[in-house]
Amino acid sequence: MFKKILINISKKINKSNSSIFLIIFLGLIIIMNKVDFTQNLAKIYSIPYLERLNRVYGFCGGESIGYLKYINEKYDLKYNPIIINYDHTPEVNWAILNTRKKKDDKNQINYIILNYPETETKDNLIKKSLRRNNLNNFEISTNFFYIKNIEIIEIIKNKKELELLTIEIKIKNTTTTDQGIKKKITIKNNSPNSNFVKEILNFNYNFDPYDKIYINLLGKNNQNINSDIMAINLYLKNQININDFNIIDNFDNCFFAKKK
Amino acid sequence: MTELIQIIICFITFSLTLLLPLNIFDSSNKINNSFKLCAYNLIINCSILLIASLLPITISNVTIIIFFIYVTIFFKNYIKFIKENIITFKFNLNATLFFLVFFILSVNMINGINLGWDAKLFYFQKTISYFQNNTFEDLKNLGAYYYHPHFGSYLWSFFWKISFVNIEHFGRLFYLYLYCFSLLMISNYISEKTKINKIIFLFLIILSYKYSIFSGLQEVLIFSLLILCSIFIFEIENYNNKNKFDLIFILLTSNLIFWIKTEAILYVIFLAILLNLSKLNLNLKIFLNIFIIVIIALRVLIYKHYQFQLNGQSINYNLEYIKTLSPEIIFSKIIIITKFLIYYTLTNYLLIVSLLATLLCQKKQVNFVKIFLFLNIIYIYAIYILRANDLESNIRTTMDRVIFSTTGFYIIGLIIFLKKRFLTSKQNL
Repeated sequence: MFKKILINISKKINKSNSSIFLIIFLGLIIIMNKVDFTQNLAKIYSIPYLERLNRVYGFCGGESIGYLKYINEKYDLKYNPIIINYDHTPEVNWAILNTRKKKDDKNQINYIILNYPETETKDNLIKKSLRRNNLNNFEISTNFFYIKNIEIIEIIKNKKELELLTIEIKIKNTTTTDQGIKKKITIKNNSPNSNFVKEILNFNYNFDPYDKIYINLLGKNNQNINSDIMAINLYLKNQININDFNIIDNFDNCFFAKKK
Repeated sequence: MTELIQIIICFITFSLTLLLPLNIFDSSNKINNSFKLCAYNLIINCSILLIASLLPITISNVTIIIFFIYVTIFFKNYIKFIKENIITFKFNLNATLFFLVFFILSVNMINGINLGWDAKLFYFQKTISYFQNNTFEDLKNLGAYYYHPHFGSYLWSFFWKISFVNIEHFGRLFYLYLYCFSLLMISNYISEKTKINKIIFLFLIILSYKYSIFSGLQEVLIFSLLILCSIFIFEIENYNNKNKFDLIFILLTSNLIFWIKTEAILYVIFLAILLNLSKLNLNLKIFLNIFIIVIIALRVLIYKHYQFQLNGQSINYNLEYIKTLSPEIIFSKIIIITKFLIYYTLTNYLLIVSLLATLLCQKKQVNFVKIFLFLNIIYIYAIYILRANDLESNIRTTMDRVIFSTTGFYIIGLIIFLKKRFLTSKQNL
């Protein structure tokens, strides 16, 4: 059989068209090289699918599909759990979605909380450092999720004597053309003899993950004094407190929990 | 190892969509072009699956019914051919090359795993829903984005269901199969007798393949189906519609495209405009326009019947926002769109090569490609000018895909150009 196949192929590749066959062969080599064929082949052969899946999506980190699959396999869930992911990723519920099961909207028992952020104090506050952008404004560079309000602002000045009078907060959604909102807050505790200013803001806003927070600091005559500021930190109130849950399973910052 | 064997099984299973129901080796057949018959089979099969996707039948039942019918037809149609060719083993370079390229790219796809952002958000959940034996009506339960067309997800789900390994990417391999077939078909359009077409096929693959287009996004389906449409329109335009099947199959393909992506309705309208400008006689033009109206009306009726949201993009496209567009805003938007349009065109090598060849080709034969290009440019400007979202972030996440979707249609310009350059004899042209 194989002899017959080889004879047929060699008949096809005669002297006159051998150069064409050579080009075709080279073309295949280029494609194989372009897509890392041998490496991919070795990986498929040697690494099981689930492990490859964990490598791509992460076990607990980013989309954390590995953790979702692990929980789904270990616990026989009657409902599709509510998934809360603090990382900026696409939808993750597809990993364990069972369309034959109901979503746990009414009972709200099963929660899978992914990438739960480190909180600074017992008040469940998330610290975010702001970065200076090209326009010399301060902004939060990463997306933030499940935030109730801006609780505290910390400002580190270059000069002790610098007078800080007003904080201008601007919130703009990056997915819309809407101009967003702007609010000015007068600083009560100016700490005139210190480089460090800490102000309680309690700024409530219905935050969207695609909102960006910009901060401008104003001195006398509403003059922008951002260039004299070394750093700004915001303390954001976390909507979810892990202490309100009974934890059933936990790996790093990923939790499978039931509401108390 | 199981996954590698499954790739081979997938290739064989997918091939049934090209080989059935019409016998591609039947010499009594009026259409003496096996590639074209394969394309017809493919469109017939996809149309059957589209109808099945809309009916209240679970995918498991559809799979069983289709499997038995097709295995029966296969043996009825091809038993003689199999007997002859298994014994003598006729080496077919096209089929071999098709398989080799499919296998090489499949390995890349299977190892890639990662699904695209929109695939996870819009399409994969539908795939899971069908896979878990829900029907069209149940798509409503999937949340905010259920209104996106479902047909690509159904294909994904159907071929996932019939694979022996329960992993989603074996369903997604059908997208790759369709892509490889459409490129092989158009490259063979130079001439089936020459071997240059094989080189062109590999060249097209090298220029266009990247993993991200197979990450569950639907653009590659439109890309592949538009390649088939471009061939059919070329035939109608240049062979004075001797073969009326071409028109029927363009219309059926348009219907498939229409159920793959929301914006694909505009591509369907472009195809209708091209056909209205073609050499078709008046009766056929009336027929095609009625057909287009019927498929649009059918979709509206089906959506109404199942109480699906028809205008899912009302936040992005609304009259209030359009009224606020001043000439200054439009002008600034045009500048941004132009900048990105040039950038994304230059990074799509297949498009660049195809457009250059089309523009260099003096023949009237490719005029329809130029008209399509013109309509497509207007469309790209219009969707971004009228969209209410932040323009730049929107363009950055979508424009490359919008451009890629229609790239397939321009390849015919490259093929005609090469045909003119390499095959000068009358017989070959």
